[in-house]
Amino acid sequence: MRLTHACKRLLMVAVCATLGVAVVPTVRAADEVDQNDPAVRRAAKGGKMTPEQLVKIRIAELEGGAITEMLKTPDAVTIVGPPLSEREKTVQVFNRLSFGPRPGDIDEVSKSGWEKWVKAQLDPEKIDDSKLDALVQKRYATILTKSMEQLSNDYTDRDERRKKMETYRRDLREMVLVRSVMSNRQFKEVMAEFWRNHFCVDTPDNDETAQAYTATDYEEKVIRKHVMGDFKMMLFDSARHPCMLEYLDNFKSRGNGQWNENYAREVMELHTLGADRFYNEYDVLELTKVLTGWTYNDKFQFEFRQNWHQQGPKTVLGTQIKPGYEGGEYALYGLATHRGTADFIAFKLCRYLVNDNPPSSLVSKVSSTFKSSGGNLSKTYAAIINSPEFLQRANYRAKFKTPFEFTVSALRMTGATVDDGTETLKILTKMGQPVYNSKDPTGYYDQAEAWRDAGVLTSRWDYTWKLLTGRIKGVTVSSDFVKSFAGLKDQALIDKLTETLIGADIGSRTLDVLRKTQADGKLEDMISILMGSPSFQQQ
Amino acid sequence: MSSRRDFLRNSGLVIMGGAAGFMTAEQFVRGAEPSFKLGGTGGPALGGGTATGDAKSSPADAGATEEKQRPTLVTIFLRGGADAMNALVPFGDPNYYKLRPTIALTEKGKAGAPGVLNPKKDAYWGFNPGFASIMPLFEEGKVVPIVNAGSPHDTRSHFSAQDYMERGAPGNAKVTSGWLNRYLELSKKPFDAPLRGLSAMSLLPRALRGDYPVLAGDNRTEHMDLFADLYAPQNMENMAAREGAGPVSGTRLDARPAHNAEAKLMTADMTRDIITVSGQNAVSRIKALEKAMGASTDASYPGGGLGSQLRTIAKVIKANVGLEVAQADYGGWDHHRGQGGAEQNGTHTRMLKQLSDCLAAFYKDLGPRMDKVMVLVMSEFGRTAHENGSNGTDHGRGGFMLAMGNMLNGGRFYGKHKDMTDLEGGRYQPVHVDYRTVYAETVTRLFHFDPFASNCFPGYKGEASNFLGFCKQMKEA
Repeated sequence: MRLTHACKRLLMVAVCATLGVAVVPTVRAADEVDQNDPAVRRAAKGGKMTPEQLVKIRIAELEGGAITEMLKTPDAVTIVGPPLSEREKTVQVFNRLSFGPRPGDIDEVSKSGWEKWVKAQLDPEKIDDSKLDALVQKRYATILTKSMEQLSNDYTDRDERRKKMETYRRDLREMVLVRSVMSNRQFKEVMAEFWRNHFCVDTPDNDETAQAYTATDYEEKVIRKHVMGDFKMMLFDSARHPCMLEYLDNFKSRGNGQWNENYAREVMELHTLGADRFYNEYDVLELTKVLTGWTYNDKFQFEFRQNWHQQGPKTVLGTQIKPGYEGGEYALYGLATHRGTADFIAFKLCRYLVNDNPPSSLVSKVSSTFKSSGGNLSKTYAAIINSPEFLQRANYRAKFKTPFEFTVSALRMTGATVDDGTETLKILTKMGQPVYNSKDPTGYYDQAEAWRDAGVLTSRWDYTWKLLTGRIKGVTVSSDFVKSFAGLKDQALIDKLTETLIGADIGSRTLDVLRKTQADGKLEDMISILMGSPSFQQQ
Repeated sequence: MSSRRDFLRNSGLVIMGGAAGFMTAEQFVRGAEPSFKLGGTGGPALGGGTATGDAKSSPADAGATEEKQRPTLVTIFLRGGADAMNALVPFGDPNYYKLRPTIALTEKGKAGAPGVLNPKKDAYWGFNPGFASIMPLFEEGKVVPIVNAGSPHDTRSHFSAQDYMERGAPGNAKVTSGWLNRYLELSKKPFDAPLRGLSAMSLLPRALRGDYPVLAGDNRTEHMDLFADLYAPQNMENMAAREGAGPVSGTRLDARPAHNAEAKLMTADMTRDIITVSGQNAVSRIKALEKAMGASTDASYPGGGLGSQLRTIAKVIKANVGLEVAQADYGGWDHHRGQGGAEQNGTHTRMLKQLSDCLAAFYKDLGPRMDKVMVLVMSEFGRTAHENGSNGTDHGRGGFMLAMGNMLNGGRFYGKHKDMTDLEGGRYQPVHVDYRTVYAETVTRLFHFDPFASNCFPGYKGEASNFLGFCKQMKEA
C-alpha cells in the first residue's frame, strides 16, 4: 500500500495527536496538505475522529512504511508544532527566565522585543537594581555585613544565642524570597534558585548546627558570586565553605579510618557526575581519603589540616592523586571538567529551563557548550536560550510551577510588596518547599512529578484568596494592579484579566466560572479564581 | 494480533527514534494511553487519574458509607538510612564490639547506660533500649523484626536507594510509580472508595506516586465549591476537542493555528489537562477525608511529626472509609556523626524511642482494629558495620525492617544472618532478604492480592515459596 506524500504527513499528525504527544509537522509541511481531501478535513476537525479510526489509520500507515520514510526526509526532523507567535515567545521567556511577569511586562517587552530583554538579563550587573539592593542591605544588614565569626560570637547567654540563630535563619529565607519577587535581575534570581538546589545546604531549625551563621555567606559567596560565572569556581568554593563542610560532614573527616564519606559521595553524585555514573564505591572511599583534613577553623575560615590527612597516593576515577591539599584541588578539578559532569549539568539545566523531559539533542548541544567553554555558565545558559528548542511549541507552557515558583509568580503578578515574609515562608513549608530547608541534599525537584499531587493544588488556591483579600500578613497587593482593571466590563474585563494573568487560553469551564463571579461584581474574586486555576500553575 | 499496550509501546519507540527523543518509551506509554481513555471509553483519565469523564459516575461518596473495616497497610519510612546494628543489636557476637568500640551497646549496659532489651532471652539478638514501649507487643508475637533486609541493588545514594525502595524496583529507573500506588492501580475497581490511599504528610512520598490518585495531607480550603467547579472535567481542553467544540473565543491572545487537530493537542493544553485532573482527584478525596477526620480520638501520641501523622491515619482507619495503604515519614536517620550508643541522649536511641512510642500509641489507639492493620517500618539502607571517626556510621547495605499487627507470627527475629564476620566488602551487613519479598508477602497475606500474576514488582523473580512466613493469611475481607 502506497500513500501520497501529503497523506503521510497528515497521518503523522493524526497519529501523534492520538498518542497525546505534541509532535506536529511544521507549518510548511501542513501547507502541502490537500485541503479538499476528505481525510484531511476529517482529521483537521480532530475531535470528530474516534480513537478506533485513528488506530486504523495508524495501522495502515505503519504498513505503508510512511513514518520510516518520513523520518528520512531532511525537513521532517523539525516536527515541533506551529511556531510560537512573538507574543507567545515573550510569555515563554518570562515564564522560564523570570519568576513570571509583573503587570505590564509582557506588553512592554513585546514592543521592544524579547531578544533585547534576554540579552540584558544575561548581563545582570548592568541592570539597575539599586532600589532592591538598598532595601536588602538595610533590612538584612546583620547577616550581610557581620562575618560568620562575629555572628557566632554575638550573644551573652544561651537564650539570646538561640533567638539570634532563629533570626539569622529567618532573615536569610526572607531575603531569598524578597529578592526573587523584587529583583530586576530576574534571570540571575532564577538561576540562583537552580544552584541553591544543586549545591544544596540547609539551615535546620535547631541550634546544634552552625549553618545559621554560615548559610548567608554561602548564599552570597558561593551561589550568587558564581551564578553567571564559572562552574569550577562554584564547585571549588562550595567544597571549601564552612557551610558545606558542616552540612555534608567533611569538616570532621580524618585519616586512618576516621573518615566520613558523606561529602565525597555527594560531590560526585549530586554536584558533578550524577548518581551511579562513572564512579563506584572504591572511588567514593578514595575521594574521601583525598579530602581528609579539609575543614574550617574557629574563625570559620577554610583550613587544611595536614595531620588529619590520609597519607599516601589515592586513585580516583582511575587517576592517581598525590597526598596533600593540592590532591583535593586536583580531584575537584578533574570532576568539574569530566564529560559526565558536562552531561549531567546540561541535562539538569535543560530540564529546569525547557522541559521535564528535555530533548536529548538539546542536552548534547548544551553539554558541548559547557565543555568547550570550560564550564562558563553564562555561555551555557545562552546555548539553551538561543536554541530552537527553547521556543518550540512542544515546550510552551509545558512545565508545572514548583510551590516556590508559584508563590513568587503570584506576588510578582499582583505587584505585591513583601514587608514581612513570615507568613509566606510558612505557607511554602506547608506546600513542601521551605526555603533553605531541604531535608535532602538532593535539593528540591523542579519536575511536575514531584509536586502534582492530588490535594496540593488546594494550598495554592487558598494562598491566592488570602493574598487578594489582604490576609497574608506583611504582604500588600499593589492597589494599582487591581485598579488597572477598573472600569472594564463584560467580555472586555475577562479578556484583559486573561491576557494579563495567563496570556493564553484558559478553558471553557474557567471562563464560565469567571462569568458567574463577574455577575457578583467582585474583581478580587475573579483575580483569585484565575490565579488558582489550572492555567496559572503552568509555565 | 498485538494488544493495545504493545501497539502503544511499539509506536512509542518509533516516534522516539525520530522526534529527538522527547520521552523514554516508558514515559511515552504512560503519557499516551490516557488520550484514548479520554475520548474512547470515558474511563480513567490523564497522567494519574481515575476521575471519570462523566461526573455523575464519580464515586465521591461511595467510600463514606462503607461500614466494614478493610485491611490496611501503614508504612513508616525512616529517611536517611537508619542504622540496623544499633536497633537490632547482635550483642551475642564478639565481632560486634570490635566493629564498634565506642558506640556498641552491651547486654548489661555499661557506665550507667541501660543494657539491650531481650524479653525472649535470645542468645544473639537484642533490642535497643529505645524500643522498650513495644517490647510487650514483641512478647505477644505482634512485632516482627527482620534483619539483613534491603535492596539487591548496591547504590548507597539516599536518593537512588529511597527511590528504588519506594518504587519496589531496585536498579530499574524505568519503573517510576511507587509500589503502594501500583498495588492500588492493579487492584482498582470501577467504584473505588475515594480514600484507598493516603499520605499523612503535605506531600506524596514516592511510594504513593503514580497513576492511581492518592491524597496528600490535610488540604482543606475555602471556596471549595468554586475550586471543584474550576477543576471539573469540562475544563479539559482535550475533552472539549473530542466533543468537537471550537476554540473558546476571546480568551486566546493569538489566533489558534489553522488546523484544530494540531491546536488541540499542544503540550500546553495537555499540561493544563493533567493539572485539572489532579485537582479533580483532590476534590473527592478531600471531601472523604474531612468526613473521616470528624472521628474522635482520645489517644495520646508523642509530640512531633510521626505521632501526628499516625493519629491522622488512625482516624481515617476508624472512619471505615476503605483506607488500604498509607505512609508516614520519619526523617533524620543519616547519622554520620554523634549517632551515640545507649546513653540517654544518644541521637539514634532517642529517635528509636520516639518511633517505638509512636508505634505503641498507634497500637493502643486502634485496639481490636489492629487485627486488620499492619505497620511496616523500613529505611533505604543500613550503615557501615564499623563506626566512623565521628562516633557515627556511613552509608551501608543491609538494614532492618519491623512489622507490627495482630496477624503476625511475631516474637522472633526473621531474616538470614550468619554473624558479624559476614560482611560485604568487609564493610557492610549483606542483604539476605530482598525487601520485595517482604512487600510481596504483605500484599498477598493482607489483601489477597497476587503480586506475581499482576506483575506488581517488574523484574522481580521471587515467588510465594520465598516468603518469610512472618504474616498469617488474613480472612477474605
